[in-house]
Amino acid sequence: MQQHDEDDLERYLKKFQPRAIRQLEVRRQTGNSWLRRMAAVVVVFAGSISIWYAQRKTAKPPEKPTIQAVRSITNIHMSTPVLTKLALDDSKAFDALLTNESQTELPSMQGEQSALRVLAND
Amino acid sequence: MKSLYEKHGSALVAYLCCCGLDFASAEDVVQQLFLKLLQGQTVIPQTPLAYLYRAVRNASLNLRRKLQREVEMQESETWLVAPNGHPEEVLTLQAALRELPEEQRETVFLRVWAGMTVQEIADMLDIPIGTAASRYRYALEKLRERLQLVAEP
Repeated sequence: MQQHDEDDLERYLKKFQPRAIRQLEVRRQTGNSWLRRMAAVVVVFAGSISIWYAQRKTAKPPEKPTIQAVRSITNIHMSTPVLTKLALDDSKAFDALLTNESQTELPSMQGEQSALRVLAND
Repeated sequence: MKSLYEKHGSALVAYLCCCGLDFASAEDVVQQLFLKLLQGQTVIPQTPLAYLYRAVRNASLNLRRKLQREVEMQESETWLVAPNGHPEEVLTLQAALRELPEEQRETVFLRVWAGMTVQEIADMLDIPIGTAASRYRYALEKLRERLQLVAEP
């Protein structure tokens, strides 16, 4: 009898249903976070490239001594140490200087042992 | 996972309400559990029913501890729906359930609305099967008394 009552009560209780709830709110965090990370990587990469390119454009290579610059120095101190240093530091500039000098400067005939003076006398 | 939510979600929320949480908090607890499961943070065992109830039970206990709130079932909030749609009948039943000790109320819910066997209830609550059975029997007796008293004015 008691079991029968229990079953009846159980059946009565089962007629009540749990109240409906809201839908599961699935946030697509995983996909979004990957997209955000990829976008950040692209932005950082593009920024780095542009900075590197800008620096490359504005930076000038160290200037090599020009012939005029060398001459301006050597006109004042055309001495053996200066020419030796130039020959060691920049052999091309040194060659260019010698070539230029040989083409523009006449040999001096003032010295008593000058070969040209001897030839001229002859 | 969505099918699990659709099948058991509302009963899990009602269970937490039966244990004393308000409806909105209970919904949040269940949502958070399923979102964690969806993200693969937890592996669901082969028999998910007992696992789901145990998980939401622990989460609600933690929440209640955090809020330092004593269990007090909401009087005017319904978490069941009557077959005829009359909220008065629901409120009467919920009031009768509210008068039960919490462990008996929980046992009734798990048996009637979660569809667990007495053995499953005993396993889930980590109590002997005899204890689970007697809790259920006492609870039904009290419920019958309460509901008859209401039905016979």
